Formats: sequence, C-alpha cells, structure tokens
Amino acid sequence: MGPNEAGQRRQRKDIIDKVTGRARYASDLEVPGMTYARLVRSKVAHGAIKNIDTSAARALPGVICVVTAKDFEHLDMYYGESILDQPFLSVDRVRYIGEPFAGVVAETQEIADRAAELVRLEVEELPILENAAAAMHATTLIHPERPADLELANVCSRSVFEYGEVDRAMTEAVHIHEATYTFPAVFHYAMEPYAYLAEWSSAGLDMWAGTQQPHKVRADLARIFGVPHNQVRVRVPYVGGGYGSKGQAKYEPVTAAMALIAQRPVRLVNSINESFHTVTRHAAVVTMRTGIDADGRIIARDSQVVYDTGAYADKGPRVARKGAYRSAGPYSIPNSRAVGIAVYSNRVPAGAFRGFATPQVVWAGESAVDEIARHLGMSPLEYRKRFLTEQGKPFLGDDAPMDADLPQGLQLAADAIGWDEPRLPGRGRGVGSGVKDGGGGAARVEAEVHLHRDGSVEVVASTIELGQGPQTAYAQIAADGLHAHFEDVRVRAVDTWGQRFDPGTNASRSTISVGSAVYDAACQVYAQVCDAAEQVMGTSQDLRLDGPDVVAGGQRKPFVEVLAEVRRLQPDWLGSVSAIGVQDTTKGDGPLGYSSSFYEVGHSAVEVEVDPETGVLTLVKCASVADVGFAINPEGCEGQDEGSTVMGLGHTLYEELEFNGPELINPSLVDYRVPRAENLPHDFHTILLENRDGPGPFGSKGAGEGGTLAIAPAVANALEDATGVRIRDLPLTPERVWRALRAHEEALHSDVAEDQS
Amino acid sequence: MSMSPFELHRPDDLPSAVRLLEKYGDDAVLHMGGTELLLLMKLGFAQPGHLVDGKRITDLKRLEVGDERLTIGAGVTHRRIERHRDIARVLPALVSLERAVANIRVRNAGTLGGNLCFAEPHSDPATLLAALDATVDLVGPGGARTVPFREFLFGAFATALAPAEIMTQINVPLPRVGARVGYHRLALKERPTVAAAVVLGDRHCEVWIGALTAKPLPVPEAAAALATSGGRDVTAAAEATRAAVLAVDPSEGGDYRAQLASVMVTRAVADAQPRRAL
Repeated sequence: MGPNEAGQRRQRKDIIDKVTGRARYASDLEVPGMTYARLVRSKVAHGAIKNIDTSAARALPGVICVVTAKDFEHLDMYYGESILDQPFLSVDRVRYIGEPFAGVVAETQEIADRAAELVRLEVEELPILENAAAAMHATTLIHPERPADLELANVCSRSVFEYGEVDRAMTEAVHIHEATYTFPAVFHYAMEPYAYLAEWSSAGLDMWAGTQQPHKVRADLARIFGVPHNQVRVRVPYVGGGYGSKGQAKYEPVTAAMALIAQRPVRLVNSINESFHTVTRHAAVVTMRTGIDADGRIIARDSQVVYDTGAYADKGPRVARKGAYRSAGPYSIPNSRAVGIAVYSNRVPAGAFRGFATPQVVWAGESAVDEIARHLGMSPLEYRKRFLTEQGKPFLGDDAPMDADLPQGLQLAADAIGWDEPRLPGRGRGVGSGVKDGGGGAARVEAEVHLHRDGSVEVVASTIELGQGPQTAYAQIAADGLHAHFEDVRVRAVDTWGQRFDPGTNASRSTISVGSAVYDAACQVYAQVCDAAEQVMGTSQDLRLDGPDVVAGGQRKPFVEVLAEVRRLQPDWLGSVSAIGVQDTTKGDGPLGYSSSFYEVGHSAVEVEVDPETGVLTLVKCASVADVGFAINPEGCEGQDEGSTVMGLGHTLYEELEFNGPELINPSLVDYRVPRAENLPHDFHTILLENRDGPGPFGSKGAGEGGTLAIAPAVANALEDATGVRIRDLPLTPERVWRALRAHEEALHSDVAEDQS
Repeated sequence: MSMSPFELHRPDDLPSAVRLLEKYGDDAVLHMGGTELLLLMKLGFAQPGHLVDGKRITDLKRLEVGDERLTIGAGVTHRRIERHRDIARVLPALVSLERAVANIRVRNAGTLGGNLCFAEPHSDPATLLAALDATVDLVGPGGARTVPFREFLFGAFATALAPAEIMTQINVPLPRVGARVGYHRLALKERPTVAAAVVLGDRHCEVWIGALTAKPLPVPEAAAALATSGGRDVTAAAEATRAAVLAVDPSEGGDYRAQLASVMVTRAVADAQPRRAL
C-alpha cells in the first residue's frame, strides 16, 4: 500500500514559531545564576605564546574568571574529527587570526566584552603560511608533531584512490585534456551564530548547544573532562542553520571549561564575525587529466585535489578523501587515480560544508567534460547523456551500483530551460551533473514512537531541526505508519539523555536512516493497536487513528478505552503503545552495505546573459533536478533544492572569503556578498525526480545538497556557450569575466593580424 | 559585540539639539535613522555617550518642490523621496536613485541628511547632488550658513560640519526645462561599486563619478565633450571618463574600474530624462 500522508505538501511544524519569533535558540536561553562569556581571539596569524596577561581583565569589577590553557593542564584539551589537533584554547601556539586563546566570564555580557579587550597576548611571531600553496613548500611546520608527508610540507592528510591502469590508458588515449581549476574558500552564512549554555552540577554537565552532532559532542566532552557519557547531557534547541558548520565539537568544550572554573552556568553567544573565524568551506585547486578514446569515451582520469584546510584538521581529512573519491564521477571511468591532499595553512580552519568536498571536484570535472565535448564538436548535453553512468551499473570502481537514472534527470533539467530552442544573441546555455555518495550507510540507528492515551503521537528521534524539516517529514512518516493524522504527531527536540544514538544530522542521511527507523517504530505500534482492536472491537479492518479514537470495521472507540479493555480482558497482553524502530545498514547485504546508501544527484541547467561592457553575468533561466526517490514533503524538498542551488550560486558568482595574507578582510554580512532574491531569474525551477528507487521510506533518498554540486560548472559552461570564453576560477565575478572577454578578443585580433601578415 | 551604554536625548527643536551637541561635545552624536550609526556602534567603532535623536524636530522634515528648486529637510527618509510624486516629475533621476538605495528597511529609516553627513564614499545621492550643484543649510552654535554640497564633502567620512553643527536641509536647483538628468550605477557588493551622474543642459553639462574616490569625482573633460556636441558625443565623454579615472586610480584593477565608469557615463546619458511639468 502506498503512503497516504507522505507525499502531501505540509506546512512545516516549526514555521509558526519561527516566523513569530517564539522559537527558542541557544542564545535565547537563561537559567538562574547564569553568567556571560566572551572569547579572546588572536590578532596574530602564527606565533609561539610567550605570555597571556589577564590581570587587567581580572581586575574589572563583575569579571568572574579569565581562563587560558594554563587552567586546564590536567585535561586533554584537543578535539577534532579524526585528528585531535585543535585545543579549545591555544596551548603553546596560535595558528590563525581569530583563534581563541582565552575566555572571559562575567556577570553581564557588556562586562565580558570589555574585559576581553583587556587581555594581552604576547607571542614570538613565526613565519606565516598564508595558504596551502605557500604551506606545501615551506620549511616552517604549523603542526610539527604531525607525521611528515614524503613529498610536501604541512600535509594534514593524503588519500589516494586508484582502480584500473591509468598510466597505460593515458598512453592509449587519442586526446588528453588537462587543466587546473580553482575554487574559493566560502562561508556557511548560518543565520544563527555559535551559541551554547553549559552548567555543571552533581549530575554532571548540562550543555545546550546549537550543534548538528550532539552524540559526537557528548563523546568529546566526556573524553575531555573525564566523565562518563551518562553524566553529559547535550540538549539541542532550534538551530538557525548548519550547512556543516555546526558539525563535531566547536565551542562546546570551551564553554564547559569556562563553566567548570566559574562554577556557575555560562552562556557563550558568539558574533557573526566570530562565525567567519570558526570554519569555512575548503578552498581547492584541482588539476585534472582526462584521456579520451577514438569514440570520445573517457577512458582514464588522473586528478589531484589540494584542499586548504587552514590551521586545524577539523573534517579536512575526510573532505580530502571524499573529494578524491568523487572526482571520477558521475561517469563510468574504467581507469582512475585521484589524490586528495588536505594542507594546513595559517587560515581559518575549513571543514564540512553542504556538498562536502564535492562542489570543488564537480566544478573541475563538469567544466572539463564540457571542454572535451566542445573539442569533439559534440553537444555537451548529448555527450554527457551518452557517457553518464547507467542505472544499475557499477560506479566509482566497485562501489554501490548507480541507483539513479542520470540521463533522464539531466534531460529533464535541460528541457526545463528550453535547451533546443533558438538562443538569443549574447546568451548561452550550460548543464552540469554532480553525484555524491549519500550518508546513512554502515550504521545502526533507532527511533521511538509513542502513542499516548489520548491518541496523540510522539516521535523521539535524534535528528536536529536545522531548518531542513525533519520535524515535519518524520511526523508524516509516523502518521503513515500509524494511519494517524499528521496534526496529531509531534517530534521531540534532541536530548542525549534518554534519546538514542545517532552519528549526526549531516550527509543528507537522516530521512533514509532515522526516518526509516521512525517508520519501523510506527508500524510496530500500529500492529499492536490492531491486535488490541481485534480483541476489544473484534476487528482491525482498515484501522486508523482519528484523533482520540480508533476506527476499524465501521466501529469507533476511544483509544484509551481500547487500551483499558484489552488489559482487562487479557492481563498478560504484551502489547505496548510504544516501540523502538531500527534501521540497520551495517550488515553489508544489498546497496546499503556499500559505503554509499544512495547517490545524491544534482543536475543543473542554466541560461545566462553576459553584459560584455561590464562583465556582469545574469542568470536568465535556472533549472535544477533533485533525484529524491520519493518526496515525503514535496514543499520541503523543493525548498531544500532551491536553497542549495542558491547557495551554489554564491560560490559561482559572488562569494569568496578574501584574505590579505592570512587575514580575512570581509568577515561581515555587509562585505560578504551572497546571492539575493533579486539575483534569481523569474524562470527558476526545481524538478523533483521520483522513481521510488531509494532506500528510505517509500523509496525516498536524501536531499538538500544536490543543488550545490553542479551549478558552478553549468554557469561557466553557459558562459562559454555565450561568449567562447572559458574561465577556470571561481567565482565568476564581473571583473574576471570582463578580463577574460577582453583577453579573448585580443587573441582573436592577433590571430586575424597574423593571418593577414 | 554589544553596544556600550549611552544616554538618549530627544529634543523637539533645532536650538535644543544644537545646545545638547554643544554641551556634550565629542561624546555626542546626532542620530536620525541610525542605519549607519547603530551599525558602527554595534561594531564598537563608535561609542558615543550621548545620542541626540533628531527625529522629533519638525524643521528637519520639510519637503518642498518649487519651480526653481527642491528643498529636502535633512531628516526626510529615502522612502519619502522615492514615493514623492512631484519629485518624480521634476527630478525623476533622484526618485529612481532612491528606489535602489540599500533595501526597503534601510530606506524606511535612513534619511538623506544622515546619508550625506556620514560621507560614505559609496553614497548614491552624494554623486547626483554634486552633479546638480546642490547646497546644504547648516545650523550650529555660531548661527546658520549655507555651503555648496561640493564643498561640504571633504573626503571619506569627513565633512565641513563644525562641532555641534547640524545639517538642516538640502537645496537642489532644478534643471531648466529641456535639460536632462541621468544617474546610473553598478552595485556588485552591498554598496555601489561605481556610479555616474550627468546633467545635460543646452550650454552646460556635468559629469560626476561616484564610489570610486573618497568623494564624487567631477570629469569636466567629459562634460565639455557632451556640452559641445549637444549631448551626442557619448563616446568622447566615456573615453574622457576612462582617462580621468585611470589618472586618479592607478592601482591594480584600475583599468576595470575606469571601464565601468565609462560605461556608467554612457548609460547615465542614455537614462537621462527631462523634468516634466508639475
């Protein structure tokens, strides 16, 4: 039986609270005796700490304590995803401008702010490695304790993927395309800055955090402070956007540390400027060689991707690994080698960001494929459709077979912008396809569904409401499993006390993993209600829950009475009104046993218009196809895909964290330019592809990152279509476009001049 | 950052406001829409102990459209100018300029006088008002005076305002019947990247470039090219603009900025409109 509730367009459960300002975020929280904190951040990019003078700050009335690493010598201060290289306050070195080296706790925020300005850092300056390019060939090491790489300096991690015989295949290629593409560091721009509230008591640590990974944070806090997991409670209120920036521990350890010394509850609310100095998307340089045979088929690819991971590893090693791995997609390339290198530099650390490593490599790959198709004189659309990985065929060496119909999706995107219609002068069209192996594989997750005596339903699932809509989608899923009304289902906010483990709200994994567990739990509860109804009402035919009533076989009875009667009739009735659902993808059979549980696919097609006098590139049409398998809340899916496309337009046309040496020069919402509604064309579509071929409830797949994957190459490809100019550096700013147009024109003139001479 | 504490004063008339500014000296700032000032205070760049709120002073809110000139009180919001039907007839370039200032929230609160006194080099109205040769009325402890707007602006964030002096109104001479006024700008970031204002009269023209330099840059060569050709030789004006910008902006990327300035002049001429009868 198909879903009834899932697939409906539903108003988000959280929307009224959010538009009326009632929704509470960590920065809104207050507890008795609460104090206020401010971190003190380095103005030096790289230095050995000589002294931190906190005396003037301590002397300010109202200051409770000023803490530095010296206060925590008994603790393991370091955290990170795979490399624990980041201390929650600088220990012996500062490694980037903006790194917190001290924390002030005071009776008011104003006092904390003023005291923070009085803390003095004295350092012996070290050579500054302003970006990965400088760091790779430097003699200075940012993390001297890290094992050395054989070839380059300051390597944080190096990952190599290889299958087939690349070198041999390259010798057999009739054409080899080689080019280097660059991608800028960009900012997540989560509306809510990093905010926390920590309190220690005899019960342990109570932490309110705007985080995407509360269980990971719990583990980090437990390890750092030497307390068991059952004494660390992480509660997550609404989170005002994450996009990867609130993954793993961020300022939870330092907030807890300040609360430990202050012996009072401490609230730390950072500013947006401080968000800019916390984590970014990795700037990347992608060098890609692609070998083509006589039929135009890609027979070999050799890629090197250098990701600038900044001062600390954060998720850099995983980014470099995933980026290298994905650099051969979305085509079936029989021989591929990819090297992904994360390099330390004295920049703001880089970490997870919507699309996770993939927009950088898709920018290179989908630009290169377009260049190859044009070189071969083929339509870039037809070329792609011919060589995109077929559904069911092996992908990326020996990973899960492709679960999506890629040519179908790409054609839908192209059709939506009128690909075959005549082009107006000055306009051009471009497409791009990106594929990212989705998260949610190789894990066992659980969720609970409780049916209350009045017929209302509570879902307990450890997925964070970041704005992406799980409270709504899970309510729909549970309503379907229970044959209940959507309105009667509530999804609880996340609290690690009493709620089940989940690795994190990331990688588009929640719906297919936790959502499947929710459905499983709801179906179990439904089976129990049916069992009770058969005993009490003599039927469970077409049973549904209608508010407080059970309706079955033409009868109606309040659920509370059904429950009382079944227990009276049968005192040993084992049924319950609660159930734990499970989604176990660790077993390794079927697609879920692969590292990829599904493929998140994004197809973009655009038409652009270029103003040759100013270089301003205007989007005239933009279509994006999200292959979601099945849309549980279509409105939510469309919103997610539109949002990720717009976010991708940011790094395509406008966004770039600009550095003067190691110093970020545009860390404010005025100076950092993101796309606005006025920059979007009226002709802006998201198309949901629903082939019910995913592993989640009703054939759903994860969504929300696809739009970021291929929009940049689609626009650059359209630019070449319009003007003949190829640009391999992002963003495609008007100045960059104008310079490329001028160089192109000059080259044409000199060609003409040569012909004439 | 949180704002440092301040005392708010809300005088009802100009003399009281001037007295307050005089009394508190450097520790006081006149506050109108707050769209720039409050931002600076939040960032900690300004920490005045006293804000003198001018929004209750009715003299600052006058707006008169005469035959010869337009009088705009310094406390008139961008939004009021943008929606003013008579201004749309006599000086349509100002209305279309105002419509594009920042965003509607800023235009609802921000005032023309506040914009000019802040002297942000990327101001939209400053460029057009310089081209139109507007004057501004100031009142302070020493009495009232009128200053040509071109002389009012000293440079980036620097003006002719004396201590405790308040801008009361902006006087814009309206172009004669038949003359055309145009303004065109490109905003690649939050504020304009480059702007051009042109006034095309029978015998006299003006060409001013905004946002590239600390204060609006006159380009008399471009103006002359337009004046001698009856407004037709746009190419010569554009090239003269390019040369003028390159001369003052030799830094990296100057050629692109010069290109943009020349294109903005061309487009401002194309956009230029005559006044219509009231």
